[in-house]
Amino acid sequence: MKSISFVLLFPIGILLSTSSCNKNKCADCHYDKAGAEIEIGEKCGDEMENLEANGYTDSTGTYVVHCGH
Amino acid sequence: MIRFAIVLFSFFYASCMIAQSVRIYLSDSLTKDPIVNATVFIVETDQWFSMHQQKHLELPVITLKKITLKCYAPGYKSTLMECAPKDSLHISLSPMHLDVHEITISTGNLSQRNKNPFHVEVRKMAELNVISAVNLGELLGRIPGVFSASLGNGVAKPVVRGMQGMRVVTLLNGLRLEGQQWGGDHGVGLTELGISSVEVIKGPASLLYGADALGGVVYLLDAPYAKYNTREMSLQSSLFHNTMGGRGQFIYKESYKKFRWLTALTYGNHADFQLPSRKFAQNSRFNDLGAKLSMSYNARNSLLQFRYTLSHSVTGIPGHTHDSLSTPETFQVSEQVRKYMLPAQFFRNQLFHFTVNWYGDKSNVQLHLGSTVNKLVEYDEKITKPSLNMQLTNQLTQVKWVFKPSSHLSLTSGFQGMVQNNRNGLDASDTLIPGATTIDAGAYSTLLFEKQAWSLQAGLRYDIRMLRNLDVPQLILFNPLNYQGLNGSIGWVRNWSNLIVRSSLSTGFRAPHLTELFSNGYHHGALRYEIGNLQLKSERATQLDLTLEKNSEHSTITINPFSNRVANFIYLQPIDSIMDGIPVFKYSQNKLVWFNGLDASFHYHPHFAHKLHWEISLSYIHCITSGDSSISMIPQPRMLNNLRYECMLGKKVCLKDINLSSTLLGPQNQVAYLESPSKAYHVLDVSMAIAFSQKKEFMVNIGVRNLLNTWYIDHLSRLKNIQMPFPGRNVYVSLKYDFSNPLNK
Repeated sequence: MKSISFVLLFPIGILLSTSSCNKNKCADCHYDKAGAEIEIGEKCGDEMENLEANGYTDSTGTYVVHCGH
Repeated sequence: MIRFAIVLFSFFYASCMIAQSVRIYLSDSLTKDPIVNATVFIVETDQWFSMHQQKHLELPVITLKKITLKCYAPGYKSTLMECAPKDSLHISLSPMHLDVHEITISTGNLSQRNKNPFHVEVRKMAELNVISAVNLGELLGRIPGVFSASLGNGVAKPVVRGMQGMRVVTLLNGLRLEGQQWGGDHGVGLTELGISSVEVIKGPASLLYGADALGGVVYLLDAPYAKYNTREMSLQSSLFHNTMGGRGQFIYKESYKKFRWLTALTYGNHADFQLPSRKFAQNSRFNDLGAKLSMSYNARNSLLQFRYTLSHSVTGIPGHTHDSLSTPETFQVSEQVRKYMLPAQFFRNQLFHFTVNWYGDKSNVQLHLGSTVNKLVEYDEKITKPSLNMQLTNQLTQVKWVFKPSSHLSLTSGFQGMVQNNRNGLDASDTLIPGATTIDAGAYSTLLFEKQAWSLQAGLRYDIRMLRNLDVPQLILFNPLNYQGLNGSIGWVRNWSNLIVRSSLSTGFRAPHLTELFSNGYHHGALRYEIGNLQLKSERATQLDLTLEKNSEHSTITINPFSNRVANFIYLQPIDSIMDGIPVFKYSQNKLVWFNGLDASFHYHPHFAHKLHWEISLSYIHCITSGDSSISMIPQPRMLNNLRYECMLGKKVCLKDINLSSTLLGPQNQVAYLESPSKAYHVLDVSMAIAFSQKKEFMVNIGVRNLLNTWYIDHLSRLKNIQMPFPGRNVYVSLKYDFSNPLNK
């Protein structure tokens, strides 16, 4: 009976265990300015998503941000 | 009440008349001595039986009128036979040092290799894994005529006689695998978990496998269930020093009277691999997870099977930089990292496969229903927004009817259907191929005639592929995208006492793929900008194959020349343009391409040193094109040498064998326009196996790959453009523990 329960639960367990959750992912980010990579540290979740979507803005302009490279 | 009892008794009695208990005796055909260490498999009931040192084997009650038995014993020729169950069956096996009569399934019928009119390479995974490999593609690349095209350690796919990707069909237990194989950076999408053997048909095989089986077929077979009334467990762990990585594997099986099941899990994790220079290949890290669940039930005249396979991998894509002045050294770094970084590829494959086999007196019917779900997500520039997000679902149906009107004749007819859907995620920044539905339908019939030493097989097949629901804005099609193919094969084999001669003529076709028709975008994984071509026609191949096999008591030699003529060969033509630092390629077509070559193998087992095995295999392909450029990615000429000494020293701790493997690849100067030639190289690997305990339950395998720390780049490497060499010296240790016990004593 234990074997049969395992058989039934097996696919569900595997599917759940391999489902990834990107929401809380963190990565080191940087932006490119005048040929140099400027580190802005580790960013996570929504903050990282916003930076990648909108870029990093300082007094001189807005620059494309790369995270996880 | 008495009437009811009489009816019940009559029914029971009638059932007993049909049902039959069988006792099998196996003996040596020369000495007539009983064989006590054999294994017997009944095909119709999917059951394995072990002799357990007994002089006979007691099979459970069999309700079928005819059964097919496979008999294996160490030192004897494998035998496949059909017989009617009776009280006792006496089977004699011929002694043979080198068993070259493996039983194959990939050519439509179960047949012994020597009686098969089509040449099939059969290899057990254990044989290929004598020197441990990091991935499945690398293992397949050790078969004569088969190579491995790799992108670092994480991605490797088989190349059969110079053809790969969409020109090679890969099947797992008869289920066709579809995993975006058009991309050079997309691997097989499977781990070696639970796979026991592989059969390779080299060359076109559209008769049985339909569209796309143009270059060859790789047919993977799962490990058998546990032996009858037994529980088996296997634990395995491998550690590789070069990648500071490893793999764990667990397999559990149970076999009851009518029901069998197995479950298996594996997890592998590797950091960046080390180069011969002691630096590391940046972002060559990968990890993967595999799982498997299989069940089988034999009813009165039928066999039902269900299999589920999952494979999930995260693979770094080496060779990416934002530096416009990059050099090969840019990608060779001094720090070995395991942590996830971009660009990376997430690849998930789920396979559902249900089969039913009905067995009649003179015929049997097989029904395969399959579904595969493949998800490929690539992150290139942004970690929160994928560049590619594709989901490929595939529904497959196959019906096969095998009719045997006499012992000499067998007719196989069937229908195969496939509905494939490709969908692009809305969150992806790029779309490389459009959403579309591909519908395949094919019907075939093949006749096998066997008499004495001759076997002849011939067949015809008609296929149609339709592309529908194309998600291409502003596309106006004047004709529907339909591709048709009429294919056939004819082959014969003649067996003499020590010589086998076989020849076959087979055709195949491949309709252009969505990526070849509609591509228009960056493919970072392949480091290309690709442009499709809507004017492409179907590729058509015709191959003539000849095999000479000479067997003697202590050696076997196989010579297999071939010539494959491919019309309308589709290839990527560089168009001398650069988009954002990435070269631009357009799909084009070559009127005629000839792939001529030779595969040869030799296995010597000298009488004066019975424990020594020497195996050589040679593979050579020469390509002739009607255009002004050769075809890219033609494998280098190769010679594989393997020396194995079966020591069997010691009892409790037994040194089982020592292996020395040499891989010599010649230079490749047949190159396409803008493709660079490759130099010759030689790699030496060594391993030894040690078994602990008398039953050899615990095994340790120790080895060194690339013993001489050779710097080399294979011609089929996708990292050739950035001059990234293959891994340097790699020391590994593999531990394996097998356990089995009876379920009911």
